[in-house]
Amino acid sequence: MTASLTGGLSANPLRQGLRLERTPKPAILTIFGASGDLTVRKLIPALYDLARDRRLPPEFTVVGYARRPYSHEEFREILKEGVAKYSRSKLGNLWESFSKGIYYFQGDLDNLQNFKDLGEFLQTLDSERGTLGNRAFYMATAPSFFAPIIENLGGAGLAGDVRNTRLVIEKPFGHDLESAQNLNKVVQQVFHEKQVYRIDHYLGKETVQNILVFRFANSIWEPLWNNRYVDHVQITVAETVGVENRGPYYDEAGGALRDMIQNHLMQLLALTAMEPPSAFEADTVRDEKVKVLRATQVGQGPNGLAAVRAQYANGWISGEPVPAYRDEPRVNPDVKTASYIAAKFTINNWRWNGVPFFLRTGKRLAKRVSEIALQFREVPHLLFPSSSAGQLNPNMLVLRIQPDEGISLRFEAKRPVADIAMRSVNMDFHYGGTFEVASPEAYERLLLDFLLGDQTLFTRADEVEAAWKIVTPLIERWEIQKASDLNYYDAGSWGPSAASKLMDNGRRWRRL
Amino acid sequence: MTENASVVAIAEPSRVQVSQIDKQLKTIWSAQEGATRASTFNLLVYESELQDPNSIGEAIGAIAVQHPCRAIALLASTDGPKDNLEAYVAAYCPVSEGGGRESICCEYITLRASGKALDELDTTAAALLLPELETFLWWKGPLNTHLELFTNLQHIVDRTVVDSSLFETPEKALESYTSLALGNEKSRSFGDLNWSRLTPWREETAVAFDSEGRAACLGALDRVIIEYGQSEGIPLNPCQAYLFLGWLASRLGWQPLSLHNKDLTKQIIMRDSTQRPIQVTLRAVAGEAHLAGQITSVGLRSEEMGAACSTVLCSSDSSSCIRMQMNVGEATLSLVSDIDTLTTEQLLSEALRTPDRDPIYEESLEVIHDLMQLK
Repeated sequence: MTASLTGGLSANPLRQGLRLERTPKPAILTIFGASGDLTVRKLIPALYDLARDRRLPPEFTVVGYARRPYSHEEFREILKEGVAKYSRSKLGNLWESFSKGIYYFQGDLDNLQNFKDLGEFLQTLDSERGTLGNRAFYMATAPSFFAPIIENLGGAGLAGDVRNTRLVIEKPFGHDLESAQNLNKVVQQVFHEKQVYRIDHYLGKETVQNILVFRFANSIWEPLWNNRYVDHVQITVAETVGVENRGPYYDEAGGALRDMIQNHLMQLLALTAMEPPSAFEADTVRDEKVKVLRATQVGQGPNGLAAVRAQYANGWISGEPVPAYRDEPRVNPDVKTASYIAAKFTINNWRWNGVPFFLRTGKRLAKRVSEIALQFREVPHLLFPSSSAGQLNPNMLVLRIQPDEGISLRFEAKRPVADIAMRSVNMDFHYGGTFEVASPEAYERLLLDFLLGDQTLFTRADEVEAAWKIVTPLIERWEIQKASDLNYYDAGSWGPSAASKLMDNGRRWRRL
Repeated sequence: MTENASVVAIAEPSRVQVSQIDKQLKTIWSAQEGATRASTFNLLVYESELQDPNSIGEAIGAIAVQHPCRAIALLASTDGPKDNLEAYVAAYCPVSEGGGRESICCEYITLRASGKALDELDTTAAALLLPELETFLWWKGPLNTHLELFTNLQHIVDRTVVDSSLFETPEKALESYTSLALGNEKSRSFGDLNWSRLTPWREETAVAFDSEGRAACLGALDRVIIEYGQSEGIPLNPCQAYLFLGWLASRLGWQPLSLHNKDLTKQIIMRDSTQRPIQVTLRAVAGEAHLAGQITSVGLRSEEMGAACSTVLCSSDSSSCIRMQMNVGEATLSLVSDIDTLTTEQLLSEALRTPDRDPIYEESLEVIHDLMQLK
């Protein structure tokens, strides 16, 4: 008997009124690259936490697929250590029964026969575990294996259909527009787009999702959310960590431009700038994101594209000396990879015409912080004495994503003295201090959505391509034309001084 | 809830004139820098001083960590002067795990009354409520629906939360409580911490019947055995077992036909919409004191030939675990789940989540109400 992965829960009247309404159907999740870090640190701990919260059916089964020769028991032991270390909840009685549903399958990623054998193994598990032929495949491998895995799944007859089979693809999805288009072609030859879930863990964060709620569940912002009132937008994703041991991967992944700007920051831009969707459904939300991405392009500065790239030199962070990018382990000292990007983007539509979006991201910056800041225009006519005018700060709405998730609004208030003297006041909402429930890990949310068949927080093929299209001029300038404009910045600083030149008309980067 | 969360008193309780309560609170807040006074609801807590006098403060502190609110404790004084009313005010701020003080704080008023002042305490409390916010009443202790203060408070609260595990004459109190809750105006709602304790049991039972093959078993069930703890020296309290049965029966469309008491066992016959009889046993089993009144196992079976329906949920081996065993076609699966023993504050937090009526709870109470009429 084959049952679809979605729907059908309403048939169970005991579910009514319980908050745990979102539970997927029984299925086998096969993880390719199961001996890797992602499986141990993120995927299995997230699945364990979901099981502990009763979000997974008892029949739920995991098959780890990799080359190393593990027995089922050895694989379970490795995962057990990962759960003990990285899970939100403690390792408890549940582990015994949860781990009974975990299996290991040794195979090569480019060997079709191994995939056919996997298919037989999954069929055997179906009758043992009651998983009814429902399949989910997770590609937690290096990107170079994505295409062979997909082709082998198709060749082994494991692609199924939209009712019973799904595929998750980890980032990066391609390394430029052309490779993303080619990979999309491979995917679409084997799977229907409705089966495909391109994951960006950033979208699983509560506060990123809160951008949608904040914008579309509150009527007070919508009248202000346009070029009439917003002067500019700043999106910052700053890290204090360096590349450390990931140098070769980071170089291959294309540094800050491909690793951060093309996906995470473009997603934040899209969520901030998109039009209200007609419904909170996967395709209506993604349609609006694609529309705004298609209207976005790199801004122009006096010398061409308004963008700056840089690499960190040595410096100090939190009182500790840290090495330069080129001195990090396993990094080629001549490498030109940018660990910092700042760029101006424009959105050519009615809502945002004339409002620059300044995006910046970097490693080894002064502070770990991610935020979206909307700076509002100054008042059209200042009533108050000129002595106060110099102190007048523009209103600012800041959506903080990490580490101190929340929202703050800056406005001017009169100081309690006889003269009209103003002072900026920040009104803060702290996510963690207001809601008592600890936020689930991003992977928990995304894995559950994927198993439930909700694609809203996953990136669609055209959305990936639109995001690549935006950064293509930068790739061409820096990597194809090999422009020699790489800047350097001290580790622990806020990036190169050249970045401040992007800000025009008296604007400046926020001091974070 | 943050497990290590706690609160710090920015103003220790101090005695004030009732008329000076608001002024005293303003004084407290004006002396604080960086503390934001915020409220999401009013919380009235009634407790007889026969209970542990510190327990309200601890519970309210824990609630304050999660929900900024104005909490007003109503204490029935048993040893003070007759017709007396005393007031105390304090303010608390949550402290995060790292030790830093959160900026949103809440305020806490205690009204200790005796005699006529106690009966009329609702008017004093009403004047202290923050406007335009929902008001919850946590009735902490045995329930007497005829008590004047209880009746009066119903006019100013949106939701009343009781704990049926504390009912002194459980079946009698349950009968009058169901009548009150079901007959109440639509604008007010009732909740029961004992119902919140059932949530893991309800979830686990629901999960057992999620898959399509298992869902079909629900229509074949004809035998239910619910066991609950009983301990020497503690009065028998089957309220939680009744609540579970009420829930199961209401979800599956079962109607009670008869109820017979025999020693520590209640035999109940119900019927489903096809008139098929369902035999239910509620049985008290000896156990540790902390499990008194708590469900320890649930068995759901079918005598029908060929039905793959045998589900046992139990916590008899541990108070923090539920073991589910069930048949799925040829496969037999078992799942052991950790169940956090929820604290009173966590249960209360659940009950304070919304002032709205819970239709599933009310439908469960309807079954219990019908069952009580059969005694």
